[in-house]
Amino acid sequence: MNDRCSEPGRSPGNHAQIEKNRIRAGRRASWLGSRPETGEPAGLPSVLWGGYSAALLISLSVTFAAMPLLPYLDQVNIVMLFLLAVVGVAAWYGRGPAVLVTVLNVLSFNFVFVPPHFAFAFETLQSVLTFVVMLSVGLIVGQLTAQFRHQAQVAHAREERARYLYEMARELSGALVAEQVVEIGERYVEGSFRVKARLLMPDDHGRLQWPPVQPGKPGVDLAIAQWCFDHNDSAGPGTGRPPDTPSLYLPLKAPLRNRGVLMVAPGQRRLPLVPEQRRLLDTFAVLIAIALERVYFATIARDTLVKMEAERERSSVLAGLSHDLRTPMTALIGLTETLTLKLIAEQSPYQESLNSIREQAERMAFLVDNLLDMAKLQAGRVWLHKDWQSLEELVGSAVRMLEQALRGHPLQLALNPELPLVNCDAVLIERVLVNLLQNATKYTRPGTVIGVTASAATDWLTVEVWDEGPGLPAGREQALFEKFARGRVESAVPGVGLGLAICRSIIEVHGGQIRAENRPTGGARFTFALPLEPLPPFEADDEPDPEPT
Amino acid sequence: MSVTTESSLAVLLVEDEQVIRRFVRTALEGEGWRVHEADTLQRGLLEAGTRKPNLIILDLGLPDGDGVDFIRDLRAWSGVPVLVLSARVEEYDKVAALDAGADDYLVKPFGVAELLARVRAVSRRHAREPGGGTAIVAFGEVSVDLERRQVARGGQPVHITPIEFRLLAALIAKPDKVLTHRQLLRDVWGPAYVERGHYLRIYMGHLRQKLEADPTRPRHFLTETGIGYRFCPNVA
Repeated sequence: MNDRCSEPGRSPGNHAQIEKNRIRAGRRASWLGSRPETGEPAGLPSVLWGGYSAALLISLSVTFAAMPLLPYLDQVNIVMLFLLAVVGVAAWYGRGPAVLVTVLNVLSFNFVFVPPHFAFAFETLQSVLTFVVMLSVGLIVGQLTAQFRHQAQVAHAREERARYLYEMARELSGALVAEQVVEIGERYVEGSFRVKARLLMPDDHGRLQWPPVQPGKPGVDLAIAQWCFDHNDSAGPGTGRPPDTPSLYLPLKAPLRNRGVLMVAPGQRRLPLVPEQRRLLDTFAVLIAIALERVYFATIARDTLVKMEAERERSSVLAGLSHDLRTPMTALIGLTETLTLKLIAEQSPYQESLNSIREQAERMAFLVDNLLDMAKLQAGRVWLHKDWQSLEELVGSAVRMLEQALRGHPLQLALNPELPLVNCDAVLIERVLVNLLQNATKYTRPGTVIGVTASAATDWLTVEVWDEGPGLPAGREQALFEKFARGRVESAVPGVGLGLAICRSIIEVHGGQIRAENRPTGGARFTFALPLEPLPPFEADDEPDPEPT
Repeated sequence: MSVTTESSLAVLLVEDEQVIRRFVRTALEGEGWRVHEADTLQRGLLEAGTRKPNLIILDLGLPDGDGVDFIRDLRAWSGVPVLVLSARVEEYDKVAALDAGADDYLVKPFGVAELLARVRAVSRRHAREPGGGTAIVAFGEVSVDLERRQVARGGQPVHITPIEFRLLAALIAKPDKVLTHRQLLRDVWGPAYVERGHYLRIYMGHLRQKLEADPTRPRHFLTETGIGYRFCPNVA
């Protein structure tokens, strides 16, 4: 099966043979004078034989009907009757029966009406002339009439196809989902071509799916269909590849890409189709493909709208939650401070307790921030407010935010002023720096050095936050980035273990990486890398600094 | 001069939470302000029209509308300073509020000391603004002569390029006020440049290199992450 599909076009000789067959089939159809364009080239022999027997019957009838008229009519006029019969048969049954009726008529005329009666007479010049003229006139009239009839049938068939195409296009334009397109497409292909049709659709990864099982529908060779879809080429009878499949597979080519495969199996009509019908079938396929593409984009638009709605709802819920949680906290902190001012004025001994309340409220506010950030980052798409940021500036503001906590630690910042700008969300990256620095202050003794080092390679900006503390539990370095992970299970250090999980989420949405390790000289080191992009054009419309003296 | 009128200064507090209104009122009344309250934006706009306050403190998270629209409405007819209160999630609302004409912001939760410091800075700046600045501004060991376009640090002249000087002047003109990236880009480079944040980052870096003792830990040219910059002449 796979072999067959992988090289379906392998035998050019075979291809040519099929091409020849197809042409022969078409030609035979028109010779036989049946309805070659609309339907059954050799399809319905009974109708054909009916034509010939009718021809025989009519010829006999005319002969017998004319016999009693012989005394009253001239031979010449009786010939007219016979010609009339030829015209009638040609008009009704086409060329073949017309030829037959002509021959029969000539013979019976000669036999019955040309003296000597009831004997063939070819001796006299007159009878030979009558015979020849009658035969030629009959054949010509028959031929012309049949041609005329044939043209009419072709025109009718064209009109019918145009109507089918038009009706399918109209129905397809009303289709809202792919299943509707499939149903309409199959119905019209089957109706117009008298074949069996199936539409095969790909999944998101470009693999064609088995169509739903329906009684009366032909079997599908999915491997051939997939080949057809992948190679954007047709397969089956008339295409020469693969040699032995009964069904024709056509890719549904839409402007942007293939939307599926149309399979046509023989029904009342056999395959291959004559070239004109193949072209027509291609037109059907294009219409169906365009309808599928339209439905596809309509679905995308609708999904995007739904996602945007969900996103908006989520962020409004988060904003509401944030506001609701912060309001009592603001009140708590504000009222505590108001009270503190009063107690200071009164030199009250309760100042210390009030300070603790305030500190706890602030810690809670920080926790709420972390939880909300985590919720926001976990909710999926974070809308990054990216701009070109200077790392020096972000480190500077993170350090300023933690001024209190960092007071006990000598800070060692190794930031090259020539560091390139990095395209990132300043608020989020500052949050990463704050969380890492805050961790360092929480887990190290006062007086130990905390450092930030940054360097840039060709396409990464690497930032290290390190300390001289006890380091990380061996073997669990990366597990620290999990949600609610703590370095040590029972730790006196407050926190719930969201800080590093937030850091990782933030770095990952920026397309960067973060890792933790112990420094060889002791202490922990957190390293994150952000992708560097080329800076947009910069018009330095400014005078340069003088060379330093 | 301003000290004599301070007792009659009025502030309008637009905030839906009664507890917050209460402690803000206590704090401000302690400083001699008259406090008017409004719990909705609609009411706030009405009060702003009738009371003609000297300062408006506006919560951005009011349920009945968008604080940014409030500021735009207000700015159509009044230049009264506006101090915005916001929760951290509303970072970008904050920027929009500042771009719309708010003067400064406070992040919830905030303390009384922080609030009073901001209120003082905003009203002081507002009182000073119409008179225009002095020609020479000094901060830290730096002095800037705005007329002669000369800058000196520790008595030594510092070379400043024309664009750096424009940026420096824009910051000095609004001491203690947060200036958004957009505002600075528009003032220094022009309206076509408001989306080119990298210009600002690069020139800010230059200024800090030239004028800050430790450019990584600036004391005067402070970063308001995600929002803009603030020039602080007096370091606490």
